Amino acid sequence: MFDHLNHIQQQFKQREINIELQGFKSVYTRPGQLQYHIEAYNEYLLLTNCSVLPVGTRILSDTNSLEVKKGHRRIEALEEFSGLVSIELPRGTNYFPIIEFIQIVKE
Amino acid sequence: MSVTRYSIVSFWVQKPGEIISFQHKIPAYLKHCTGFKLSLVGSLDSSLLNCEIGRISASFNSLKEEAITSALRYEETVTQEFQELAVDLHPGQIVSGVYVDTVLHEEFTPYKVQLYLRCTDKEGQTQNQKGSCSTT
Repeated sequence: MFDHLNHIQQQFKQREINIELQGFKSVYTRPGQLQYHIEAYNEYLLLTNCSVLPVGTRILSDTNSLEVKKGHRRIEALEEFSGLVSIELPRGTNYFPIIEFIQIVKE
Repeated sequence: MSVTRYSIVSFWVQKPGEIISFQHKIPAYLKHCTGFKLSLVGSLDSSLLNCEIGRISASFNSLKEEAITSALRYEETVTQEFQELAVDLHPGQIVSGVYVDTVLHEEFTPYKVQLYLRCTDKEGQTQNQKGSCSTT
């Protein structure tokens, strides 16, 4: 398993983006609500637990979008989102996970 | 004299709500991008006329510059106008992005999307409408 934090530090250095703050952000999903919105303007949210999200979950943002497929259970890569982030759980799901992100605030 | 070249990123959208990621390399001799145009190839259900059918975002220089966020609309007459862009290109770097289909329609038909990038071999040039053009 690769080191997420090390990977982030290296990649942001390659992209010439200085990091002001590195933290965590979690979204607690619950029955009765399928849509969630988080503001991540001038920052980046890197999804760390894609493998536990229900298949069909969609995460849409200003810079990246993702629909969780079965294959994501085996992938360790981090998906990055920025701007207004919208999370949509699939209809009919009976699993309501905590969605975890590494939050990067840039300089 | 500078030249203008058009790079095209194209992909098919096969199902409603599809999310398509793309990566593209602009030839290394091109130094500056001055515009972009997003267009639809093919025809959709007439009820979608003048509606947004998708959204695109793209970054330049290997994720260093987030430069494009735009919506694609289904319109009867296709405009030839480019939206302005001012991005200095680092040679050999990647343009990457994602397209999200927003059509929530029962009778979905696959369609092709093309993102045209207008770039020149002169640094920091704003526009060159008269430059010689070709497609890569």
